[in-house]
Amino acid sequence: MSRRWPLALAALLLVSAAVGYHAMIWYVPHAVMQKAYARFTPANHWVHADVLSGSKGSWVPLGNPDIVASRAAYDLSQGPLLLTGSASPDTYWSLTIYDGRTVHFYLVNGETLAGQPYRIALVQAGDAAAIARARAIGATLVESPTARGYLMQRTFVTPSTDFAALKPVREAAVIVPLR
Amino acid sequence: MRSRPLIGRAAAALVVAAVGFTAGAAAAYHWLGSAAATAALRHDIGPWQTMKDGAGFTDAFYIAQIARIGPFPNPPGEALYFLAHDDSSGAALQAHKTYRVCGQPLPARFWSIAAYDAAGTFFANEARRSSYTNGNVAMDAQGRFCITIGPQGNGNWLPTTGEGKVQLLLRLYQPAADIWPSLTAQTVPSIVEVKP
Repeated sequence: MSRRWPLALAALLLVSAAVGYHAMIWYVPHAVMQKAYARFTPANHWVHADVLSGSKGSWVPLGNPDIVASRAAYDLSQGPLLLTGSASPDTYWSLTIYDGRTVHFYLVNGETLAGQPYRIALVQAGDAAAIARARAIGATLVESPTARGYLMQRTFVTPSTDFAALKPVREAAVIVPLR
Repeated sequence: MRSRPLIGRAAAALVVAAVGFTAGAAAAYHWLGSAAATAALRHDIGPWQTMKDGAGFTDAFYIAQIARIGPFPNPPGEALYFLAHDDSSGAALQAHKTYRVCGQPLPARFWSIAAYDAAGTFFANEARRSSYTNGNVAMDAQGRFCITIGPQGNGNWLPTTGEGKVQLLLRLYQPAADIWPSLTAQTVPSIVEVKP
């Protein structure tokens, strides 16, 4: 017994190190998402940055100083959502949706929309009733792998960007329950 | 009589498990941020490093890496990201030194070059300038640009402060569909130290 004890401790050390290693790999993206949920609260509500992130720092490493962003945390636990709005004109614009592990699973950009507004039904994957509702209203169906996640609209800013003209376009974007 | 040794062994086991868990977690966190860990997924083009198209995006380690280094990127078809930690000679970029980043317009609808410190945050500076884009960088008569990165400069200048490391991030939004063959060590921006 006493001879085996040091070996048992060594094995325990290795196993617990392996568990710690994998736990950290699981934890890092979830920690980023927890930060996003805390920062963009309440959920399902756009937060429009009114200045370039480069002029006041960024809440994530390697933030882009050349975009004005609109961000939201989403939560589908109370039901599916309907996202409506338009692309910022005359510059690069995109809306990207990230799941609860920070992984993107949907993107639409200004070129795809070609001047038309977007109307996206965001539903939890496999929610048959919500999927049927989305199809019934003719919205673009997007299925989220997780109940919570993060939305980001990027508008690339150039010297000729008219901030005053952008404001009403950005603020017209809304997130409402899908009824 | 045997309870004391058993309690002692249980306590030792708990300590060993805690030490092992902490060491494993710390090792993972460090490894996630290391250049060596990204080697298998990386394209190195001159001094710039980028991820291969969508490689391993569903892999838990890769997801954690992106979350650690720079979370919420756009997918590769929409935007490409090229990170530089070293200059074109392979020496680490340092904030107290001065560099010239020179190149030709890049094959994308929008592009930008931004400077960050080792933690991925912007260098505080009076001009509040952290980047140049294809919309505001001054070009020379040949249609090329040069950006000075360092504590002193003028013209196209991204100020740095302190003694720490520097990271440069080149972003290409809506890159040309056939972009990869055109990206070589000769066509991507060079990063050359300006000797005093």
